Amino acid sequence: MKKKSFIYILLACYLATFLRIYINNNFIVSIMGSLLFGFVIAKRLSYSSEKILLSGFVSCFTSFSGFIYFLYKMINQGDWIKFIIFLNFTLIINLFTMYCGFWISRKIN
Amino acid sequence: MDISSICIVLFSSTLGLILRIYIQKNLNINIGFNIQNTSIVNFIASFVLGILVGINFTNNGILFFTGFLGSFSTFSSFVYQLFVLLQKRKFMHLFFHYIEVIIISFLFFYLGYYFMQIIK
Repeated sequence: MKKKSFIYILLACYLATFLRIYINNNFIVSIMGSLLFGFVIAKRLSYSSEKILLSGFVSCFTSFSGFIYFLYKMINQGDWIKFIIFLNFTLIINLFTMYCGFWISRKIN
Repeated sequence: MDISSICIVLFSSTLGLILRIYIQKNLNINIGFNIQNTSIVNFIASFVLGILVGINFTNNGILFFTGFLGSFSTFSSFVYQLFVLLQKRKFMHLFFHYIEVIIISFLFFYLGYYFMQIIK
């Protein structure tokens, strides 16, 4: 990996991390991340641009551990129905949003 | 957010990012079946999260792990794995991958959690 690309990935990561902390809502962050991810993968970008956007920005923006922690809190409260509904709902919504991003990007092209 | 908090977030997110890129690029685990690197990253993150929940961290500790785990683990890549399977119309594969990642992540989470309970 080139030094310049790596610096851009780091900067994208910092921006994403502070944005995630600022928004402070895992669900909204994951939806925004999925939309952007879908949008980017539909575009034919260069390898380094894709790395900066996907590996640097979107991956640092969305957090799997935050998702697991949120689910853990539901299990801890003994709310299994809420847990199952939220788990499936989040995944379906995120898949749908990623598809929307993908579709929008293709339409713009 | 004060300067020290910003420094902690910057340091931890750099560490998380570098570690994720390294694992995604270099690690290849094959135990009968191939485990995708993104899943490995998320399992490790779940284990570390379990440890974090098992101990009562101070504010700076939480900030460190928010930066580290947030940059290390990736939810969007997990959704993308499912999206690719959906595009290929491999619905059964999608269903099992989804279930497998969630179950193994929780197993790792509780492993980390109980590991800390034993140490305490």
